[in-house]
Amino acid sequence: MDIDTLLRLFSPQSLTVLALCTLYGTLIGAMPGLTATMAVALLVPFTYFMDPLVAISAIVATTTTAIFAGDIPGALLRIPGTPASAAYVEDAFQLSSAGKSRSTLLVSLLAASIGGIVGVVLLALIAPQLARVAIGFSSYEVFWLATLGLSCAVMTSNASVIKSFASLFIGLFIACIGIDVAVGHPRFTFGWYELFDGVSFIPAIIGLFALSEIMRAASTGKHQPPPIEIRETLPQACRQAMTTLSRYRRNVARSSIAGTLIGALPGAGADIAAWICYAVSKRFSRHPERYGKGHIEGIVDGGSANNAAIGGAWTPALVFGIPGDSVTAIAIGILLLNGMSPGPRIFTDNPEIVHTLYGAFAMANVLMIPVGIAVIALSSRIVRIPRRVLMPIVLLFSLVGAYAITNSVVAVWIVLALGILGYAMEASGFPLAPAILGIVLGGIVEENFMTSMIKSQGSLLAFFERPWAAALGALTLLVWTFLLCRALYEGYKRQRALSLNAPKREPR
Amino acid sequence: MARTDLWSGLLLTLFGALIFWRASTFPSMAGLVYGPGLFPSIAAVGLMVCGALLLVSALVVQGRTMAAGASDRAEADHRPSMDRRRAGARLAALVLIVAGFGLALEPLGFHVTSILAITATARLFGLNLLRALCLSVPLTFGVHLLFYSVMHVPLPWGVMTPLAW
Repeated sequence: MDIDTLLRLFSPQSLTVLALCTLYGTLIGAMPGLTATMAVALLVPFTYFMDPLVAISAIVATTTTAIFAGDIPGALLRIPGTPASAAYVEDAFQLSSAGKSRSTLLVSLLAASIGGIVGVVLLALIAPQLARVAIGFSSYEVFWLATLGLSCAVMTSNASVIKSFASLFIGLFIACIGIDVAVGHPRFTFGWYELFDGVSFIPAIIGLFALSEIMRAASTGKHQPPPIEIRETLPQACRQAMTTLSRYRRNVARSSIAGTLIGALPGAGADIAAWICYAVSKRFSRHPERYGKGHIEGIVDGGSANNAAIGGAWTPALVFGIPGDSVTAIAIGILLLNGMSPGPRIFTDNPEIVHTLYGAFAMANVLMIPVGIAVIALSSRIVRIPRRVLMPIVLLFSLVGAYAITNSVVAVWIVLALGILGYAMEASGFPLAPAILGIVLGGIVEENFMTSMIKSQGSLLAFFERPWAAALGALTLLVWTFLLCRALYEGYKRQRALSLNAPKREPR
Repeated sequence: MARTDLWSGLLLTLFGALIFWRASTFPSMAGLVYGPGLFPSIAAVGLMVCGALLLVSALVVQGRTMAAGASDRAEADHRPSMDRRRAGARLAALVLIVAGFGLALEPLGFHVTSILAITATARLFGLNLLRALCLSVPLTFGVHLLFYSVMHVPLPWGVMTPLAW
């Protein structure tokens, strides 16, 4: 990094923008239903007035903090602020219910900051090496990668295998809505032109997570659970968080590295990184049975992985111009608007962009700590707002936020339909996460499957002919076998429980 | 749980069958057996299989518990039926509010619609009318400022168009 870049990074203008965006990202991320993608999308009009290098810093600072801040409503309200926090929302909420919201969120914050810094260091170190492998990826490899992501979503869920698969298929069906990728035939649109592009992701997420939560609050009525109590002072929580982090420092290291690598794969963003690292953490933990019931270990892993993935996601964006996630897709758009095209040549033609990006990442992750602590300290105020005041506010932000993305009332209908679906699924024990992954990855899986089929002229064997494709495919099939065995075991366990219970009840 | 499993299994199976039937009407690609119908069909078959499995296991559980003389209904919900009915009514009211927001947003405009919707939601959650209005009016103008003035989201004005700025 040369002196020029450093001077530019520490210029008053750049520092002001970084500080403002850190605050903005934290606030938007902390509002349930407003995602990191949306924070960036809403930032785009402002970047027109900025120097392109400052614009990049603004985007980086906003995403970094928004992904962390998504943990705040997740822990306090059980509504993940961004999809990336969905993996460990149950654990965070259970811990908060036990009065530990501050230390939980501080662990999230510090893990996120470390993860983010590891992410950018790895990005700077291995971007060229990873690029060499991924440049050879064709539709076969991408297909297996997305399929593996979907299978992991089923594997990580705490519900029964059948219900997780059902949820996944619901998501895949929703992803099918709209013009199909192969011949351009409209599917399940019922003549609504607004649906030709498919179900917009952000209204879908707002419906599944925010509206369904408001519906649950409405249906419980006066039986609502008591508001979350905070039983820790801030210094106590800090000490607790430091102890937790040093106990799980190996998890932080593992998940930061894994998160960066997963984020670097095209199409896999912060949310998938969090899911996979959460699953890996559960697998290797000494207490896998505590996951999903308020165990901090999964939060350490997921929290560092999703922030590390943001750095990783820039790898394919910088090297190929292929967005690693929806946020970098917007960022690429901004770069193109400013007359710079990302690609292998950006490293030689505009090295200052790459260096500014690294610098902005590092600074945003450091600035995030004081801002995050302030917001966590204030979050007790958010908790004290009674539900009857909070829920109307969340409702309005959800509806207007969904409308803002599409500028059409169809967004409100999507929110309503998926809100009802989400409520019904939760109420009957279906996990939501596989459905969301299905919606995100369904399109990618289908597009790459169709492309591959056209290339191989209908031969399925072609999916295993290339070395990386064969490896990824074999891994996916392994996960499927494991899931099948688990489903059979679940069925056997239920049978046994029934036959053990039946004789006891018979005398009645 | 067996009762909800029974119903969700049934619904999933029927829904899957419906998708499968619709997907079979999609045209296929020239020279390939696969077309736009393939992925919806995979989702549909998946839904039908999961639905059927849920249905069968729920029936088995119900059969056993019936034979054992215990009613599943009793263990499903301990709350009195009055409360459940009230919860249902509140859910329906919330759905109506959101649907009303969608219907009225363009004709009435963002301001009128959101003041009405937020007041109604606040009443639903137990705020009295005065406090509900104290919440909804400033909130609406705050959201207007943030989304319309700062972020340039074209929120519709509707009946307020003469006052638009």
